[in-house]
Amino acid sequence: MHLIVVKNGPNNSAERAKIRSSKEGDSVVLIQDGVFWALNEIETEAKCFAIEDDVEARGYTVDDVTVPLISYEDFIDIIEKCDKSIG
Amino acid sequence: MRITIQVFAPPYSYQDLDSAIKIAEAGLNKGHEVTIFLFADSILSINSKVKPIRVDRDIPRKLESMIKEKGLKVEICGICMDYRGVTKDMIIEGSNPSGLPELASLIFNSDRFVNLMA
Amino acid sequence: MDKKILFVVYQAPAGSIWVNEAFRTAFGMYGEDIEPSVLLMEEATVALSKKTKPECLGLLSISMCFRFIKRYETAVYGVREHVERFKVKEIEESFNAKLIEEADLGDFFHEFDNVVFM
Repeated sequence: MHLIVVKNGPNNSAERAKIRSSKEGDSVVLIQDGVFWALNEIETEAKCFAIEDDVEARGYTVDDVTVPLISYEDFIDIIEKCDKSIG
Repeated sequence: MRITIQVFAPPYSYQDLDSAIKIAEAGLNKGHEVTIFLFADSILSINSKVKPIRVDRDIPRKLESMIKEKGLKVEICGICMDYRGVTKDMIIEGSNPSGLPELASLIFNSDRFVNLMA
Repeated sequence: MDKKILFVVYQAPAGSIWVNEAFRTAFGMYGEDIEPSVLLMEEATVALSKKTKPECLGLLSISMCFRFIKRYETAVYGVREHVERFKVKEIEESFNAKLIEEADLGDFFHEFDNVVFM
C-alpha cells in the first residue's frame, strides 16, 4: 500500500504521473495546491483525501470538492497504514 | 513509528515548511518519533537570524520549540548550508547539521518516509 | 533487507539543480542497505542526451556523475515517450539507461519502497 502525496495542481506533470500511477489500495493525499485536483473527479482506483485546512485556505468548502476532507491527525492515520510512499 | 519528512522548498516563499510542521506536530502528538530533513533552500528555516514581521509566523522559533518541547528532530543538509552561507553558529538550538549519510540512515531506519517534493 | 528507493526528476538539468541532486543523493545511499535508482522523466529527459551540457552555463556538469554511476552500477531509467517528445536523438551511453513505457510507470513506481520526486 503506497501513500501518494500530491502538493501541486493538475498543471504539474509530475503530479499527473503520480495520480496516474496510483492503484487500488493506495491512498492519495492532496495537500497545498494539490487540493485543486479535488475540484473535479479524479481518475484513480485509489482512495483520495484532501487536507481540510488547505481546501479552506483556498476558498473552498466540503461542497466544492469530490473527495473527503481530512485533518493532519487523519493524515497521520493514513501514514501509519501505508508502509510505502510515492511523494 | 519513526516518521521522516523531507522538505526542499524555502520557508515563507512556499507552504512546505508549514505543512511539514503540521504533519510533524500531529505525528508527535500521536507518540511517533518524527524527524524533518531539510534539503536545499528549506535549510533557511533553521537560521536563527530569520526575522519575520510581527503578525507572521516565526518558523525557526516554532521548530526550536518543537525540538525542545516535543522531541522533534531536525536534520539539515550540511552542504546545502554551505551553499547558502548558513553557519553552525547561526542555527537554532537542537537542530543538527548532517548530510547524505544521515539521510540514508533516516531512509533506511524510518518506518515511514513522507516527501514534499521540490 | 535492502530498501529500494527511486529518485525521480522531472525538471530540465540546465534550469534547476535536481538532476545533479538526485544523482548525488542516490550515491549517498550506498552507506546503508539501500538500492537507489534514478528516473529522468518529462523535461529532465534531456539530461540523457549526449548533447546536453549545463557546464556551458557555468553549471555543474552531468558527466561528473558518470564515474559514480559506473562504480556503483546505479540503475538509471528514462521514459520512452518522453525521449521521443523531447527529441533526444542520441542517449549518452554512460547512463546505461533503461527506457520504460509511460503506461508502465504505475507498476514501476510500485516496485519501490519509496519514490522520491525532487
